[in-house]
Amino acid sequence: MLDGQLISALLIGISGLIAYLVSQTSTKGKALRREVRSLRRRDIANARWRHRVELDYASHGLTMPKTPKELSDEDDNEDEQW
Amino acid sequence: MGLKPPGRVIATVIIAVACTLMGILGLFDRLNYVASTNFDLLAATANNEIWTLGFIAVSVFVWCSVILHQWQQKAMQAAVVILAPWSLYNLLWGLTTDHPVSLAAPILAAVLAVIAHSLAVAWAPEDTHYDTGR
Repeated sequence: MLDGQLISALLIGISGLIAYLVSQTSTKGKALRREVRSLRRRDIANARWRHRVELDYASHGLTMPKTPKELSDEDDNEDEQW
Repeated sequence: MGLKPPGRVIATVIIAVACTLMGILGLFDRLNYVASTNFDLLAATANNEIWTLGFIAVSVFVWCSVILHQWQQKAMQAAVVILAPWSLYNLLWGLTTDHPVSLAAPILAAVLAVIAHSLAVAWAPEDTHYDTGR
C-alpha cells in the first residue's frame, strides 16, 4: 500500500508543516507582544503629557478643560447659551 | 527590534547563499550521509529528493525577496520550513549510523534555521503608528 518513499515524503511534509506552524505562531506572538509594548509606551507618554499640561494650567491658576467623558448636560446647555 | 535593516539584509543573503549551496549539493547527490543506519525509513526520509527540490525552491524565493525587497518574512519562514526538518532528520541519521560521523552539517543547519526564524521575526511589518515620537 504505502512504500517507503511515500511515507518519507509524508514525514517531510508533516515536519515541514509543523515547522511552519511553530514559526508562524512564534512570529505572530512576538509581533503581538511588540504591539502591546508600544501601546503601553504610548499610554505612558500620553499620561505624562497630560500631567505636564495640568501642571502648566495650575501654574497659571487654571483648571484643565473637561474631556468629552467628563462633560454633562449642564455643560452642553452652557455651550448653547454662548 | 533585533537586527537593523543593513544587517538584516546581509543575514538574509547569507541564508539565501546557504539554501543555494544546499540545493547545489543536492543536485550532485552530496546533501546527505552515505554511512548506513539501522533505520531504513529514517535514511529514506533524510535521503529524499524532495530536499533538493525544496532547497532550490526556497533559495529562489529568498533571492527574489532580497532582490525585490518584499516577502522577506515569508521567505525566511520558508527557509525555516526546509532547514529545520532537514537538520532534524540528518541529525537523527548521524546519531544512528553504524560508525561515528560528523554532526557538523545538521547542527549548522539547525543554527541557520534559528537565525532564519529570528530574521522572520525581525522582518515583521513595523507598527510605527503607535510610536510616541521619542
